[in-house]
Amino acid sequence: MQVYRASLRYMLRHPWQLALSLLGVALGVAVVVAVDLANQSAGRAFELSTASLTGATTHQVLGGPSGIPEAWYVDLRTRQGVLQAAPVVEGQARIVDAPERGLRLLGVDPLAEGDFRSGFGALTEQGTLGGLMSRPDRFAMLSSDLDEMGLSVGDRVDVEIGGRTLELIVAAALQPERELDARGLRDVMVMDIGAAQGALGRHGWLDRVDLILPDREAVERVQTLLPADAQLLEAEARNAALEQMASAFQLNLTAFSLLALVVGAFLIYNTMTFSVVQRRQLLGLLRAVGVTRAQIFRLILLEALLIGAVGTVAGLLLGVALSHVLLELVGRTINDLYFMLSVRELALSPWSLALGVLLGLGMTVVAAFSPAVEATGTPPRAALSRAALELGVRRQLPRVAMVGLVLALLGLALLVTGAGLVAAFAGLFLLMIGWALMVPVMMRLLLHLLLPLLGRFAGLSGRMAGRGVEAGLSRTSVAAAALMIAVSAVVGVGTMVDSFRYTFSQWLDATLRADVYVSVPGSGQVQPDAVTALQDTEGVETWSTARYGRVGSGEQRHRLRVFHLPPEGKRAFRLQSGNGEEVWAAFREEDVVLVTEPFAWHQRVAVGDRLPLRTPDGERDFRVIGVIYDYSTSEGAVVMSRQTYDRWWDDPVVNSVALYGVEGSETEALIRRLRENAGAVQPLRYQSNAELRRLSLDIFDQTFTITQVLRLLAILVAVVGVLSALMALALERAREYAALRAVGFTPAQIWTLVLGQNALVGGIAGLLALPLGMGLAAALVLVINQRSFGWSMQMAFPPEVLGQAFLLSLAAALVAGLYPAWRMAKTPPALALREEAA
Amino acid sequence: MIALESVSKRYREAGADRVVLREFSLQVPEGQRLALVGRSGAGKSTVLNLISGMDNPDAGTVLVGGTAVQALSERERTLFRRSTVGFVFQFFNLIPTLTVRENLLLPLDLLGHKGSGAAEAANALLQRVGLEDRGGSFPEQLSGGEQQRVAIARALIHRPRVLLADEPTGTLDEETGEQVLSLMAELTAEHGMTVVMVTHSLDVARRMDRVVRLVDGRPVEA
Repeated sequence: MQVYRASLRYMLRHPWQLALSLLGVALGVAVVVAVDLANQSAGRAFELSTASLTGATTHQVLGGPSGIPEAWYVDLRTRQGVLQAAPVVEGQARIVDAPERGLRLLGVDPLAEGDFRSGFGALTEQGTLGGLMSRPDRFAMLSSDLDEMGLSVGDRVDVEIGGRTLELIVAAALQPERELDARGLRDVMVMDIGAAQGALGRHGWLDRVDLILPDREAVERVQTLLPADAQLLEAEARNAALEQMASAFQLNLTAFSLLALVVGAFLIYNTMTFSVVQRRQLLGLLRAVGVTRAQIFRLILLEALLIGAVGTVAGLLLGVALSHVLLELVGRTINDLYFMLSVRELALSPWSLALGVLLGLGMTVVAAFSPAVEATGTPPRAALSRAALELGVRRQLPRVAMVGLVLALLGLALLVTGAGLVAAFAGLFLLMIGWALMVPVMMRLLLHLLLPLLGRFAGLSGRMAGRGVEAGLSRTSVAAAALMIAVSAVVGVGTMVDSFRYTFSQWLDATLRADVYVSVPGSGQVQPDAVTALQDTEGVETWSTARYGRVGSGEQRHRLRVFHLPPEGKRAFRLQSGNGEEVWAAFREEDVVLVTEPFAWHQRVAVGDRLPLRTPDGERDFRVIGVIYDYSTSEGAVVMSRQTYDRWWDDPVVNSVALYGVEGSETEALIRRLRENAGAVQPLRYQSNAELRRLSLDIFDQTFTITQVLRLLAILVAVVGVLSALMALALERAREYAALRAVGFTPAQIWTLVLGQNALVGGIAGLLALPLGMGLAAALVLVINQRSFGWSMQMAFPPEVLGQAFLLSLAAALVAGLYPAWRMAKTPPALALREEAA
Repeated sequence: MIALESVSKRYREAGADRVVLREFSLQVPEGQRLALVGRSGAGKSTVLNLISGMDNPDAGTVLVGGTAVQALSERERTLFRRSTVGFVFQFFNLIPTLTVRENLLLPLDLLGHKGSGAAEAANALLQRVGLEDRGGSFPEQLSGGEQQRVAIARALIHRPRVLLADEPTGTLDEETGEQVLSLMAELTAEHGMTVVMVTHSLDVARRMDRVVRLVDGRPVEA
């Protein structure tokens, strides 16, 4: 008991050390828990949303690019007698007074809803039903959503749907009986199907028909009734496929969060080692009075557990707080890249919290294991000198470096040859940890090279700084390794983002060739008269049109993009594979398609393959003649010429028009004329080339905000690590600094000396971070991103990123050195000498 | 040379004030070698710290060579110490990251004496303390006696007017302690330095010109 008391008092007498180790554990745990909670919450929101909106639906009928003809649905119900069928149209809406809140517009037939969605139960109640169906300007929403926006039944609100602002009336406030429905229906605006069709410009068409099919027989029967280009899919399978889309993004986030934990583990290791080294005398005394090696081992591990437990609890609380911030970022990215989802509620998943506890405690115990073993080796009554200890550490360096080399090579091998994303991340982590284990040897080597220079340029102080770092290698190398990992992550992720941005921006330059792009806000059809008006506008030299939709293929649904291109427009496609001349010769005339790079990756499709697509004449094979670079969606898409599309689909719909002005025309003037001509026909959105480019890059940057946040967190953990290590070093040397003060060092000189040592640690960490950072960047760009999203990117190594990373490392170490330097310079030498003598 | 007049010093320990020096006055003429003796905690080391400017009195004045040390700023006290005082500690306090020669060069370096003149001075002094062949060694590679000889050399290399020694033989065996004291006496006598040495040993104290005992924070001539 007394042994534990002595240990506890030791910790309490070194509050800074204790606080820093707690902070290290807490930050590491917080980042992992926050990311996991955000991911889990997004997953939960998706589940709830699909569960509420799918309800009892067992199957869904989905059509071609235009959807399902309403007439088919009517026939299904009335003539074929399939009564458990509910039509749905979907779109996006925004309440003008609450523009930050994206709403999912759902058009349903209240009469057909029946057993489908329990959350819509209120719709069928007398009054509500009539209210919703009586006029096309009514909608219903969750009562809690209405409350948040300060709305109540009967209010008139301006709502933006399909580029138009409509004045709608709140007809009903939904109050689902089940809490799950209440959460799943957040931000959903329900309208009568006819009203929604009108608002979205989809008269006569449905997005899908939900069905409750009780048995196989019923399924087979509906199969026979399907339009040729429609599919009957199981509702669950379709939802799973949707969710799968965001999984790579979420795995990436998890990997980044583990990075912070790795840095945190270094921190804990450092703290525990220091606490053992500093107490060797105490431990020796305990051994002398009869404490066994096993007891010492248990003592150290128990301390680690205590630190781990307190740090983990703090980390969990911090993680929950942080996850609110990340949740918004994750939700935004999912909305930008994948599907519309309202992720606003934090799901406190016990699994996430358990993961935090497991990692926090586990990492602390693992990190403390080696120091605990070292502590058991303390000879009774002996207090080994610091130098002798360092000598022992130095002897271990070659072995540690060898282990590091093996791990790094193993990591490289996994990255190069391993299959799958998890293998790639495992490779990445092995590479990082392997390199980190080589840091002490490389650091020693660099110090040997630097010492003569330090002596020449900074005299004895320079030598003292250099040798001081080397003399405390067991401490300084761990700090440098932690900082190095964090900075290399900054280089790696920074370079990846820059490379991606560069590639994306090059792609935008190549793709956006027209002067003005016209579309319906949200989504929708540009009416034929409007298309003609745009094309006929003075100053328009040529134009192209695009049709976006989804098309069935086997049991899957692919994005389809249909382009009517002028000769200039073809240059917008950059072929990754396929013969250029052959491609353009066949693109219009033959039954061929191009596929985007992510599509080729996810679907394992190559040039020459045949891709089955459901047309109104049934499933037809289209030959893949080229794979094009495309960074607009990681899901991938099939690209078809308008001519080919028109040969198979009877669907003249156009979703956007790109207009090329005559040479020398001013874009603003052209937009003005286009507005004048087409404005009367349909309200449309006009975007100049530059505007669209800027908008695209803004979305890109927004998508990577979360990456930047995680990067900063890793740096923060590293700074705490360096501060902890250097503070420990400074405290160990307090007497040395006091002696220097006694012989005439001024406080300013002590500052310089301490900060000089920190600068050396930071500089070396920064230097060693560059090759690893570039390696990480290459792995992220060439392997991870490829395997996650199917995008290939051009590596861009902007020298400023490398320079900034080096400076960041230096700055982080200097910031971490401010407190130790201040404290050492401030401590009266007499006091320091007196404390040491005591 | 050294004059402490009505000096008081107290420390705050465990929430209570402990008076170490009370109206303490002491004069040490130039060139005198004074031994300060007394029980542990009597304030002997405090007197050295006040003379060197490493600590400030709560009241009273500390004059060293006419300079009122307590009136100097932190920086001025450091510069004063750098040029005027040499320090020898019980635990040597050599800088572990500097070699023996570099430890000796440190005070000269701080005073701006660099180059071959400084190196020669260091070599000459190393020879005097019998460590001419250990200049490239680090302190940890030396025995306690050797380390203390280096410490004495470091304290004297810049020829300070005052040498302060805090139990310089406290951790050494008798024979080594004797050698160290002889060396110190020899080197300080050559330059007529004023020496104030704290010791627990009456034998050591008797080798000095004068012995003062600290009792209840006051000096008593022994």
